[in-house]
Amino acid sequence: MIVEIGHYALALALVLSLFQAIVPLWGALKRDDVLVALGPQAAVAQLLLISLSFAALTYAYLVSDFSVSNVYENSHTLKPLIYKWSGVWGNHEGSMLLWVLILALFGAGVAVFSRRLPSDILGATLAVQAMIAAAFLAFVLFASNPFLRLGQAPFEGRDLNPILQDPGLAIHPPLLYLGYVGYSIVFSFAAGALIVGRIDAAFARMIRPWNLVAWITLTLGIAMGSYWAYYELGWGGYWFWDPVENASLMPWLTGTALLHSAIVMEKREALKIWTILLAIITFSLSLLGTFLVRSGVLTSVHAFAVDPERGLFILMILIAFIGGSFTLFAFRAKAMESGGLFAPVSREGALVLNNLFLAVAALAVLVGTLYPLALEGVTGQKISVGPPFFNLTVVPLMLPLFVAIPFGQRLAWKRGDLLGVVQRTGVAMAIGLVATLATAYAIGRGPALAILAIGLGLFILLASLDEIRERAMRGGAAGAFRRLLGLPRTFVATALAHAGVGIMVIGIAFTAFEKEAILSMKPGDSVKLGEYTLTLRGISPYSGPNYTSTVAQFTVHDGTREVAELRPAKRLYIGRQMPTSEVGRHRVGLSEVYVAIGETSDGAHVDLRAYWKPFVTLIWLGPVLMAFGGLLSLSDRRLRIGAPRLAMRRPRRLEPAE
Amino acid sequence: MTLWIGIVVLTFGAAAFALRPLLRPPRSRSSLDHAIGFYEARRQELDRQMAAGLISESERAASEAEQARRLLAIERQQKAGDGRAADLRPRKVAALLLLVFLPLLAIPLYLRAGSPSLPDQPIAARIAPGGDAEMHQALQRIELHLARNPNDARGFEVIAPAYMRLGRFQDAAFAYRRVMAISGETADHLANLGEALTAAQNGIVSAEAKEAFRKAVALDPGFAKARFYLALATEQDGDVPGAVRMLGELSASLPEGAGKMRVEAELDRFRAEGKAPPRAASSPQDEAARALSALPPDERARAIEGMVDGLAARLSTQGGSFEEWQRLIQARVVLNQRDKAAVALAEARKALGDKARAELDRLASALDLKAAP
Repeated sequence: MIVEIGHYALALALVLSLFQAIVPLWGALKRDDVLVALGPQAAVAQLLLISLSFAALTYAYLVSDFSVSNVYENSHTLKPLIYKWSGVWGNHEGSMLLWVLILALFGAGVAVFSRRLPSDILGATLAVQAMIAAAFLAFVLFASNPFLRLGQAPFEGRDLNPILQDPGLAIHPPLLYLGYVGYSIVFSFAAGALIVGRIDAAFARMIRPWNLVAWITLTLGIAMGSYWAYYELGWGGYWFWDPVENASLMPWLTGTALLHSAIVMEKREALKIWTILLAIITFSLSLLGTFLVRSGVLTSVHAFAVDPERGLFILMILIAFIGGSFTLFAFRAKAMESGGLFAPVSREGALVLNNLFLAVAALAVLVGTLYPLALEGVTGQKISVGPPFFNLTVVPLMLPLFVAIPFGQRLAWKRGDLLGVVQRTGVAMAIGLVATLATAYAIGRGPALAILAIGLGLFILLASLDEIRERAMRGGAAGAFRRLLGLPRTFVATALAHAGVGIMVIGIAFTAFEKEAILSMKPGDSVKLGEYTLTLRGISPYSGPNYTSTVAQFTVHDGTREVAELRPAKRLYIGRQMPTSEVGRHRVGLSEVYVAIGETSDGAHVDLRAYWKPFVTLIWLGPVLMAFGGLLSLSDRRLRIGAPRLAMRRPRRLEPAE
Repeated sequence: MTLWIGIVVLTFGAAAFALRPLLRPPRSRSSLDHAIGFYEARRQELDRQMAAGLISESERAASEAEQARRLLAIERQQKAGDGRAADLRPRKVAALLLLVFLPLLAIPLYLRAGSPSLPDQPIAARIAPGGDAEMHQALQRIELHLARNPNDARGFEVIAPAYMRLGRFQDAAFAYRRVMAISGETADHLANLGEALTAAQNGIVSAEAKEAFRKAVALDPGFAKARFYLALATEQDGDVPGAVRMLGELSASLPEGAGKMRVEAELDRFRAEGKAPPRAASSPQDEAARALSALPPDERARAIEGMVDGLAARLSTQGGSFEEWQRLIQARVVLNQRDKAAVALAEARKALGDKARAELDRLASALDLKAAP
C-alpha cells in the first residue's frame, strides 16, 4: 500500500503542478495577489507530495520489496544498507524521481524564502517553475515510472551495477542534480522577469542566492565526480572529456559567467540583457546535459539508461523550454533598456571579458560534444573528438582568463586604472615569477608550459590573498585589523574562490611531472616511481560479501625505508559477473603513489599501471575552496553595491553596457 | 480499501492545503514597495561601508546619486497596481478547477500504471519459516559459497535436491555432475543425475540420462531407481515387452513398500492395455487385487477409496501398528489426497507417540509431507 500511495502522490503532484503553472500566472497578469499566493502554497504542497513519493520508493528499497520492478532490477537482499539507500537514485527511474524531488525542493524554497518578492514576479516565476515540474513529472509517470509492479514478485533482486556500489555514488549525483536543477530556478526567474517585463538590479538580487546554491553544488558535484572517476575507474586520470563530463561542464562554464555578470547587474544595473540570456542558456545546457545522459545517445560509462524513446521525450521538453524562452526573450529584448555605462577598462569591462571567455569555452565544449553526434546523424560516419581537441580549444581560452583574474579583481567600477592595478599586483607577480624559476630549478627539465602554468597558479593564489591584505592595510596599519573584520564577506569570498582557481591550476600543471609505469610484474619484482620504489610481494585471492577478488600486495619504499603497503585488487561481482578495480593509493602530503592492477592471466604475473602523482590532491582542493568561497558569499545577505569612482577630469567616452 | 481511503485523504488534503490562501489572504508587496525597499537597503549598506572606512565620502555621494536616479525612473515607470482585485470570480474558478480536476485527472493518471490491488511485499514478510523464500535465501548463500569454493562436493550434494524441488532440473543436473567430478561416480548420484535430466525433458529419458542409469546399474545391479528408469527408457524406445519384462523383474525383487507400489502402478498401466500378464495369484491379497483390477476404472477407483477410508476409520478408532499407519498414509498420497494424508500423519503421531516419531519423520520427509495442525 505504501508503494501505491507513493505512486498516487506523484500523479497528484503532476496535476497540482499544472494548477501552479496556470493560476499564479493568471494572478500576476490580473494583479490579483490572492491568486498569486496560491502559487507558493502549491509549490510547498508539491514538495510534500513528491517527498512522500520518494520516501515510498526508498521504503521499497529498504525492505527489499521485489514486487516493485525498479527494486527488483537494482537491488539485492545482501546489498549493504548504504547502497540500499543510494540505490534509490543509482538507476534511471529513481534518479529522475530525485530530479523532480530537487525541482520541487527549489520551487518550495522560492515559495518560502522569497515571499517578500513583488507578487507579479513571484507569480510568474513559480508558474514557469511549475511548467518545468509538470514536464518532468509527466516524463517520470509516462516514460520512466519507478513504481511499476510485478505481479509475481521474484525472491531476489538483480543487484546494483557494481561500479556504482561506492560511497561516491551516494553523494555525486544528488550534488550534480542540485546544481543542474538549481539553475531551473534562475531560469524561472529570468522567464518570469521577461513575462512581467521588468528587469533591473532587484532581479539580480533575487536570483543571487539561487544562482550561488546551484553554482556551489554543481562545482562540488563535478569535483566529486572527477575524484570518483580517479579512484574508482582505475585509469588514474581526473578528467576525460567524456561527453557526460562535458555535459556537466557546459552549464558550469555559463553558470560561472552568469555568477559574474549578475554581480555587474546587481551592483551596476549593466549587462541586463546578457545576464538574462545567460540564465536561459545555462538552464538549457543543464537540460541538454540531462538529455545527453538520459537518452543514451552517447556511449559512455555513465549512460546506464539506453532508451531512445525516453530520449525523445526529454528532447521535446528541451525544445519546448529553450524555444519558448528564446521566443519570449526575442519579444522582450527590444523593450529592455541598457543600464549603467562603463569604460572598457573597469571592473565591468573585466567581467565582460570573463564572460566572453567562459561563453566561448562553453561553446567549444558544446561543439566538441555535439559535432560527432551530428556528423554521425548526417553521414553515418563515426568519429571521436577526444582530449586533443579540448586541450587545443578550451585550454588556450582558459589561460588568458586565468591571467586576467588578479587584475580584474582589482579594477575599480565604472572606470579603472590598469597601470595602477598592475603595480598593485607587482608583489604577487614577483613571488610567482620567483616560484616559477624555483620550480623549474627544482624539477630540472620539464615541459616549459607546465612550469609556466605552475607560476600562473601561484600568481593567482598569491594575488588573491594579497588583495585581502591590501584592502585591510589601506589607510595605514593602524586600523588594519578592524578593517579586516569589517571587510564584506563577499569580498573575502571572491578572493578565496579565485585562490581556489589558482590551487587547481597548480594541481593540473603538476600532472605534467607525474611518473608512470605500465608493466607486468611477478612477485619479487620492483619498479621505480620517482623517489619511490614499488615492490610486488604476492598475489592472493580474497572473497567479499558479494564478490571475489584478486589482491596484489605491494610495498612502497622511500629509499630503503618501507613507507606503506598497498593492496590494489581486481574484483569480480558474482551477481552480474562484472569486474571492477580497486586502486591502491599511498598519500604523501598532497602527492600520491597510485597503483591499479589489471589481469592476472597466469596467477604468477600481474599487469599493472603505477603512478607517482605530485600534488594531485590540489586538483580537487581547488574546487572545494571555490565552493567554500561561494558558501561564504551566500552567507553574506547584505546588499552589494559597486561604488563608482568619480570622474576626476572630463570623463572619457563611455561605452554602453551591451 | 485502506489504499482508497489513503487516496481520498491525500487528494483532499492536498487540495485543502493548496487552497488555504483563499481563506487567509497573505500580506504581499507591490513592486514599487519592493523597489523602494531595495534601494533604501542599498543606501543603508553604503552608510555601513562608509562607517567601516571601506569607501570614501566622494564614492558614497556618487553612488547615492545613482540610486536616487534609478528610483525616480522606477517610480515614473510604475503605475501602482492595486494588488487586491475586488473581483472574486477568478478565485472561485481556481478553487473549483482544483477540486474537480485534482481527483479527476490524478486518479486515472495513477490507475494507468498503478496496481491498487497489489499489497506491499517486503522480503521479511515473505520469509516464513520453511517457506519458499527462506529456502531461496538459503539456496543463495550456498550458491555464493559454491561460487567461491567450486570444489566443495558436500555443498553440491546439499543444493541438488533443493534445485529438484524448485523445478530447476538443469541446475540440479549440473550440481550432480559437479559432485561426481569432484568425488567420483556413485550409483546414487548417477541415478539422481539421470532423474534430473529426465525431469528436465518432461519425462523423456534422453540418451544421456539412459547412459547415467546404465552406469548406475553397472555399479549396483540391484539399484531399483536406475532399473525403473531404464525400463521406462526401453518403453520409450518402442520395446514394450522388454519394458514389461524389466518392470516385472524389478517388482519381484522389491519388498512391499512405496517403491514396489510405484512399479506396480506402472505395470498396471500396461495391464490395463493388455500388454502385460495379469498378476500371479499367490495370496488372498492378490486375489482381492485381481478382483479389483477386473472392475471398470471409475468403479475400481471408488472401491479402492472405500477400502482406504475403511482402513482410516479402523485405525483412528481402534489404533494400529506403525506399518498400518504407513500404508494408510502412502495410500492417501498415491490417491493424491495429500490433505487427508497430512491428517493421517498427525493422527499417527498422536496415536503412536514417541516410539515411532523417528520413523514417521522419515516417512513424512520421504513423501514431502507435513502433518496437518
